[in-house]
This record gives sequence, structure tokens and C-alpha cells, in this order.
Amino acid sequence: MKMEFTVGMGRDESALDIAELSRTAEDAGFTNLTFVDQPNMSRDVFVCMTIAALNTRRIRIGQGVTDPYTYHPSVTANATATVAELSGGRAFVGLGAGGPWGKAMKARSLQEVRECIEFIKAYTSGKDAQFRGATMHSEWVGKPLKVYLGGYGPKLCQLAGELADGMMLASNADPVHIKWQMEQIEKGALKVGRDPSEIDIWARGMIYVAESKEQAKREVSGYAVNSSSALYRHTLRQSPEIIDLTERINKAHPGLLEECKKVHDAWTPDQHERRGTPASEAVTDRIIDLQHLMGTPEDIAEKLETIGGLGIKTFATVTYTVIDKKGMVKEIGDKVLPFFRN
Amino acid sequence: MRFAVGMGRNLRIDEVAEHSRLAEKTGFDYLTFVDIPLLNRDVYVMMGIAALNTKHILIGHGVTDPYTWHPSVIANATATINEMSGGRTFVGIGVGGLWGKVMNPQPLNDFRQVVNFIREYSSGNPAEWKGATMHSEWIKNQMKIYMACGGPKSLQLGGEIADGVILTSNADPVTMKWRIEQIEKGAEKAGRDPNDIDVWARGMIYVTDQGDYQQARRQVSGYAVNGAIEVIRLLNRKSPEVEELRRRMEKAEPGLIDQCQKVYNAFDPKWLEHVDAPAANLITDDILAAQQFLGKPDVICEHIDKLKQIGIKTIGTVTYTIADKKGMMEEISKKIMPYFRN
Repeated sequence: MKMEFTVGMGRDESALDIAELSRTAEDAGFTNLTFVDQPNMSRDVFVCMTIAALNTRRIRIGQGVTDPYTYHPSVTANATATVAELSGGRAFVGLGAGGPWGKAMKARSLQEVRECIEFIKAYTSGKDAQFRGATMHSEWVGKPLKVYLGGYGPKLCQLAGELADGMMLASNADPVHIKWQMEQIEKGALKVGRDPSEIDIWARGMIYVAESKEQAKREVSGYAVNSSSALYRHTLRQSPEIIDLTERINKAHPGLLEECKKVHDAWTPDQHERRGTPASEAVTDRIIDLQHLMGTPEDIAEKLETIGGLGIKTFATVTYTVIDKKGMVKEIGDKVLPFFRN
Repeated sequence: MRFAVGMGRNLRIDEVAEHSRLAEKTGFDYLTFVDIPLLNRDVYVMMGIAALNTKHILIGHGVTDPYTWHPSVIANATATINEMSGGRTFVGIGVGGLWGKVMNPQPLNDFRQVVNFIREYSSGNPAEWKGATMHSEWIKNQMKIYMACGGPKSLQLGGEIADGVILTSNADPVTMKWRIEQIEKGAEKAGRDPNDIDVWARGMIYVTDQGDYQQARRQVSGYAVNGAIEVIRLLNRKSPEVEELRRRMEKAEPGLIDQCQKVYNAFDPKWLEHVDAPAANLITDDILAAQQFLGKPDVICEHIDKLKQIGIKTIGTVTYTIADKKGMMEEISKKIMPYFRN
């Protein structure tokens, strides 16, 4: 089976560490590289993207993900276009609605995200572009950028199906969850008469190659807090799509949502993506097994085969809570990627 | 006297490395990059490239604003460059304005809060912004903050709280003296020694002892529109301080205000900093002589000397509308800087 791979980085590296780590990702065979955009926690996303562009030759580079609140859309478009110029066209926009992850903000409305995508597409095509009543036109940008949406909810997935070039699914590699999100994207695509297969959908979860699960679990748990607490929060909403998701999860994995609730209840924002926190200690083996890919290369490849069977063509891992980030990127390149070359 | 050079108005991103190296080699002390997303490449990508390509020059914005960028982004991105460059970064910030950005200037009180926020946040302390408390996980080194100011109230604020003040694009000694008085007023109010504040006069230096004077005049006029219209905007405000400035200008520079008014009337933001713009064609020799540095080395040095006596510590030139930007940096280095080295 053929599959492409993405790696997300920049959670706590210094900008200069990015040079070596981005080269390692390219040499290891990853197709895409994304950078965290959380100003309170990580180095600036555009500086990291710049350093990656200067140190690589073919890997694609984007945000993982930015939002329309922290950055004005004209800034997102202009800065990403600058990285595209620097890299010979290898930059893309990774955009979400924003959220509580360490930013002093609320998620933006779906309408705002829609306007932001439309703005970025028009603006980077060199056209007059409208945002909140103001018309803007760049003096120099002329090549349209691809826009990937990142997020969880059914409406956001439908929006991606309508007008995004790609979608980064929630960080949760459980095939039940992936399938449900893919159906929402398809719904959006069909609504506007688009072929859903045109949309580049990435499934996400942390890949951690390990013979022994003890140390691995500590590192993966720090990140698995995101997937488990987000899933629980998500199921609190009462829409037909969410009720359907909740039913599917309860049927496939009875009791899982209670495990996720415990993580959610133990979480506070200062624990975000850290090892050894109360929330990460509440992460169970089952949560890790379902939502992330930890184990021997063969175990991981088997899970990826299942995910690929759903129609996923790209899988995205992250280095955030991994201690030896460079070692893990190489390890994945050496031991997992070869299963998916053709 | 120290020298700063502003660049990035219309450089392609692959030109930034060479121009920054040359600015350092030719002896400039500071390097600033334009931040107008509709007009130029992203400011942080440019600052990042400059940091990677230089060793001792100080790097900042010329200037950013708290509308286009969230203050936590300004602090975080500048701190990222600061980390990469070994502490060579400063924040150059103004209230924002009409320069091609779709925005209104920010109220002065907001601006005071922005400066306080950036200072606290980049010191590694919890910092408040509009009711939200933010705390960086990684930033610990306070950065210097330079405020771009033109009007009496902002100049006084600069005198109260800024490490440096960048006086907006106009090197007229009459206006500069008045501006320095406003800064001193603010400094005294806060019990500061005004001498501690690094005050920059900005104007384009264009040495014309060889080459075509008419060509030089054309290029400088494209930029001189900024200074001319900014005088009118300032004089349109009603305050005793502004009336005092008008009185001084009418006495020392008869007719100059009328000439600036004609430029102001012809200004169209679409032509911002363009050679041969309709407003640029109305720039007079009087405007150029008062507000910019165009001419033979002795004329330029005499003008700078006057500013030095008033209390200006740094001359900030820009390359924006100059055709041979690198050649002009070399010229300034050879023919102007040596005169002020002791």
C-alpha cells in the first residue's frame, strides 16, 4: 500500500534546532512538514517555516495549524506566500478555527473560517480579496496557495469538503473516528458537486516506534491527552452527527468515553502537551492503542494498513512530547515508511 | 551618530540575505524591515533571514503595529528572532495607520498597554492583554522597544516608556527639534533622563556626487511623499503644541506647508512609495532639502550635523524607492559615515 507521511514539529524546539530537524524529516522520506502555531508555547510559526524552507529541497511546509484570530488573514496569506517564494512553491496554509489550546481566545465561527479561506484563495491568486468589508490587493503575491483545514467538528469537516484543498483530521487515529470524519467531508463535497477524492485528507496520531512500551507510554501519553479530552468534549455537543459518532464509539469501544472523561477532568491548560502531568497519567493503554500508533514497526504498519483501507492517503505524526525527536523521525523513516513506498 | 537602514519595501525574498549582509558590512548599526502585508514580503521571514546572515547588526521592524498582529505574536516572533540572533533584536512599533493597511490607527491608551504587555511578556512574566493573562513557556529575555511617533501625544508617550523613538519619515530640523521637545516633556513626566532615549530621525539618504541628479531626485521623491503628507496630517490636528509647530515652520520655512499640502491633496494609497506617483511629481526642491538627505556629501553631512546638535542619536535611511539599493549603501558607507565616526 502506498501512503505519504507528514510530521508536525516546533512544539518546544528552538528555531535553530528546526534546521537540523527539518533536514532529518526530509531525508527520512516525509512528504509534508507542519509547525505548531501557539505563540504562548512555541517559537514563531513563520520563522520556523522559513528555517525549514532554507534547509530543505522538496518537503512541503505549512502550519499545523494557524487560526483567523491570532493572525489577520492578510498576514497569514502574505507570510505563507513569502515562504512559498523562498521555497520554490513548497508552502501551504494549515488553518483551523482556533481554540483553547493555550491561546487566550475562543474558537472562531464557521462563517469566519469560511471567509478566511475564501480571502486567502482570492488574495494569493493576485486578485482583489474581501475581508469584513475591506478590499485588499497584494502588490506582489500572484500564485494561489493550497489551504488545508484542521479540526474536529462535523460542520468544519463539511466546510473542508466544500472548499478546502485538504483536511487534517482530528488528532485521533481510531478508524471509527476517521471514518466518521471522512463521511462529513464527503457530505460537504457532494453538496457543492465536488469529487470527494480531490480532497487530500490526512489522518493524525503520534507514531512512536518502540519495543518496550514503558518509556514510550510516558511520552505518547503527554500528547494523547489532546485526542482523548477533545473526543470527550466533542461528544458533549448535541447534533445528529455527534450523536451518531457517540453511538458508534460506544458500540465499538464500550467504556472508552468514560476513560476519556477522566483525562478531560484532570486537564488544565498549563499541562498542554507535557509529559508526566495528572491528565497524561490518566491516559489509559486503550486510549493510546486506539488513538495513536505505538509499538513495533509491524504493529504500526498493520494499523496504518487499516487506516489506508478507509481511503486515507496521508498519515501525520508529531514530535511534540517525544524526547529524542530527531531519533524518532529517523526511526519512522527507516522502519515504518518502507512498508508504504508502493 | 549611528546609522540605520530600512529595507524590504519591494525586495524579493531571495534578495534579503545579500542586502542584510551588505548593510552590516557597510557599517550600519541597525537594520529594519517594512511591515505592510499588502505591499511586501513577510516581516518575520525577512528578519529571520537577516538574523541568519549577519553577526552584529541589530534587527527590528520598521515598523509593525498592534492591529495587524496580536501583541503576543509580536512578542513571540520577535523573541524567536532574538534567540536565533544572539539577542540582536528590537521591537519597532507604531500605532498603525493608513499606509496600505486596511485599518485605523489604534488609540494611544491601547498602545501604552501594548508596550507594557510586550515588555512584561518578553521578560517571562504573566502579562495582561484585554483581560486575558498570558505567559510564555519559553521567553525570558526582555527586548528593547522602539516606538514610531509623530504627534505630540505619542511623542510624549514615547518619552515616558520607550527605549527608543523612531521619528516618522521626515528629517526637517525644525520639526525634529519640536518633536524632541515633546519627547523630553514625556521623559520628564516619568522622571527619566531624555538622554537615555535613542531618538532616530528618518529620511532617505541619497548621495549624488556622481550620476544623474534628476534620476536621484525622481527616486527620492517617491519616498518623500510620506514625509510631506505626514506633516499635513500632523498640522491638521488641533492642539497648542501643533499650533506652535506651525508657527515655527511658517517662520523658518515660508511656503513649505503649502507645498506639502499639494502633495497631500494628490496622494493616493495605491501609489504608496512608488517612483513617479502623481503625488511624487509634486515634491519640490524645498521639501527635499528640508525633509530628506539628497545631494553631495557635504550637504548631507551638514544636515545631519544640525540634527546631531538638536539631540538626534541615529539617522535612519531607507532603500525603498532607490533603484540601486546596494550601491547606495556603499556610497553612504564611504562618503557619509566616516564623517560621524568619532
